[in-house]
Amino acid sequence: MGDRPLKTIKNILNGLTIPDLITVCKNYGLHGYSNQVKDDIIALIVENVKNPHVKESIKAIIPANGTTALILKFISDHDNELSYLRLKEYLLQYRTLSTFRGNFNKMIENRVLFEIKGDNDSTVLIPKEFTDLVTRIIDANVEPEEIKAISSLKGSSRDFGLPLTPTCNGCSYVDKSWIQKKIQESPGMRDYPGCNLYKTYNGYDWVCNHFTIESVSKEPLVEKRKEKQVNLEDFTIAAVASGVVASQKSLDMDANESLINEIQDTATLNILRHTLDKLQIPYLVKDISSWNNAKSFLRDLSMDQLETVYKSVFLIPSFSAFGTLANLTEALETQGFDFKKKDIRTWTLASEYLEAYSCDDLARLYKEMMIVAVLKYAEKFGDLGTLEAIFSEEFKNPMILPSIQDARIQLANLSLDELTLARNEMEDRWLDHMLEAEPIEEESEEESKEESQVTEGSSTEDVIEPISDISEDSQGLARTSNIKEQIDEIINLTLSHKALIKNIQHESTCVMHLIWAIQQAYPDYINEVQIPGSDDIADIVLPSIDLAIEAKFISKLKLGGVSNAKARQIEKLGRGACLSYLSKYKYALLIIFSDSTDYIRSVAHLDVHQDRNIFVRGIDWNKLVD
Amino acid sequence: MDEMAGLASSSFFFKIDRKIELYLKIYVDLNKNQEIAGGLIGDIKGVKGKGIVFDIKSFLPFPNLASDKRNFSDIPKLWFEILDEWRIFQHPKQKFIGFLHSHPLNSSKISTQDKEFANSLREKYGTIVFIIIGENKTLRCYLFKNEEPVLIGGKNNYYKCLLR
Repeated sequence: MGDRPLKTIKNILNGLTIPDLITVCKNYGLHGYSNQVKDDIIALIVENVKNPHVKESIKAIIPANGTTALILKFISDHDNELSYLRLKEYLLQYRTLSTFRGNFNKMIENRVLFEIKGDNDSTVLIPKEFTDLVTRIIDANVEPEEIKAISSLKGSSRDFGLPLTPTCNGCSYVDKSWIQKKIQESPGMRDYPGCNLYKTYNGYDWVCNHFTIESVSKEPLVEKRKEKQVNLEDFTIAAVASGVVASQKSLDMDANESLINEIQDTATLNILRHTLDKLQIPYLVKDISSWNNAKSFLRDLSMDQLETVYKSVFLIPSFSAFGTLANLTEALETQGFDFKKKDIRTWTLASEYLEAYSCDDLARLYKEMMIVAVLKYAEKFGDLGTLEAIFSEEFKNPMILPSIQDARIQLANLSLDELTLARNEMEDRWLDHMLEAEPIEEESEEESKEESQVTEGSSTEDVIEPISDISEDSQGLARTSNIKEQIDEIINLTLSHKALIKNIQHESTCVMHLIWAIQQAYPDYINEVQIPGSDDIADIVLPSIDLAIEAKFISKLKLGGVSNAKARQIEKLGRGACLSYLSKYKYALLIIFSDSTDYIRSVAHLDVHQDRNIFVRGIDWNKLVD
Repeated sequence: MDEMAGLASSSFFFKIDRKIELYLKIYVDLNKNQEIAGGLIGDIKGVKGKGIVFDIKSFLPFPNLASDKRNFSDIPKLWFEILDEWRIFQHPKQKFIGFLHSHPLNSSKISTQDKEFANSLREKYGTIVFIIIGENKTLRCYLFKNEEPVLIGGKNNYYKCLLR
């Protein structure tokens, strides 16, 4: 590259007329350019193009294809400034005239490239500020063969960039996308049933899925397969390569269909995609573009893979959705599972722990956990009358249960679905029982809305009935005498930031916000806070205060399109979780966030349990955030 | 307060959305004894006859992790990523345009540490505004177009914008 300085956008814009400048503003999505003097319009453009977010908008108007990238590469290799005729001459060695003109004119129109007309030729310019942007486009779209070819061009003293490296781990997302696209577009992509994304491209063997692309090696494909039989077992590649896939496992097609249907009933396509990514099961985008495709893709998986998906999508989430960590612990102990308490300290850890077990083991464990839950509620009632009523009313099977042991035997005879129903019924009836004992202080939607107005600050008055006669030991008293107010504070601070909650799209944002809210309420207790998203929020709070707090994030992927009844069920689960926490902690706060656009039913629950005093507050964020 | 305080730099000024300012007021009042901070989202746009305005449309507060809440500890890089994610999902047409924090017990003058931080943001985000709310409801808005900031004025209702 020569030593001459690159032309800045300001240099270039100075030579344009006001209508041209206005076109630039329009193309870049800028505001407030009309009726401005030339210098102000230029300043507006100059200040905006420094902003990376504006640059992203500009990148979006550049056609993302190989021809565009080649054009940009030629120009950038000549200090961002090149004669049009030379550019055309270069390009015509690789592209047709119409392809070149089409893409070139598009970039001129969009003011990504600027052209200064001369007598017989013109100069094409890329502003200095676009250098990084252009580099990214080139890296993502210029094909390696072309780079090599360009490098060998006569008269070129330029190093035209790095060859494609055999591993893609260090590549940017766009690079990966490009390779992925190329691999998927290549013929013979589906040569290997059950292993759709194994392909030789550009002399390398690649395994890719939506987010991960790796070059397996430079070795020939067949050799590679032989070498990697063990390591690539997860992808069933070894089996495919050795031609034994058909005899690998005698699949029970009915069982497969049942699992597939269960997966379809439980998950959305997005959840399925995330699960496949997580499990590193290779797939093509088109494989899960519809449920029809997804089902046939799932049918192509091995039984092991299918069970893994089923576990991840359905079984393991069921534990946290319908159980508590305490009940899980008891179930693990009863069923003789080998575990340490730290394995299931949080649901995140517990889920990882459970992944190691087979579907059968998990089903057995889940059933035991449901039994434990039902029996715990029965213990709370003090008799088995409610359970007998459920057998009679829900299962049309009236019976007398003389003891807990008898109840356990009868429960063990129920199916998983029936047990879940029994557990939910017990929870509902327990809630009703408790709420009859102490009236719920539940806000009306209007009150919630009114209270949450930002303009009204964070007044906490009249939100929850005061807790009377809290008896604490002397050490705990100082901490908890005003704990209700502090919890109130969390709720109100959360409310005052409803705009943040409205479109929470990611768990880390949710956790960050909660940490922030808790800090406001517990400045003295929280001395060490983890980076948002890196740990379970309960780990932050529990050591220092006698409060169970859990943030649940329910994405729209899960809630989208669900009925109001389903939403209410989630709310009930929240209440149930609070109640279960109250068996261990004096205070429980559960906040469920949701970002569903078609139905938002996020609730914040505050249950303060003092003997039989329970105060529950449900908040419909959807009403609040309008 | 004057709608447009005097301008130290003739071609730049800032504007805080009225709701955001009200929100800030409540937020700052709620946290009188601790430093608050957060990212500013909005637009850089032209206004006829005035030059360029940094139009602040939203504010994302960051948790104060310092043991002494009167100061703010180093801000993890991840929070800017979260802020960016939040911007993309909630304000896709807007951009990061600056940073705001408070000096609960001091004036709103910029410190050396503030300058270093602001310049690191400038290197990443281009020209930004760096707003400091000091004691006694004062506010200074520094424009970081280059390494050395200049004070700019702007439209706000509650805080007293200082230009010296």
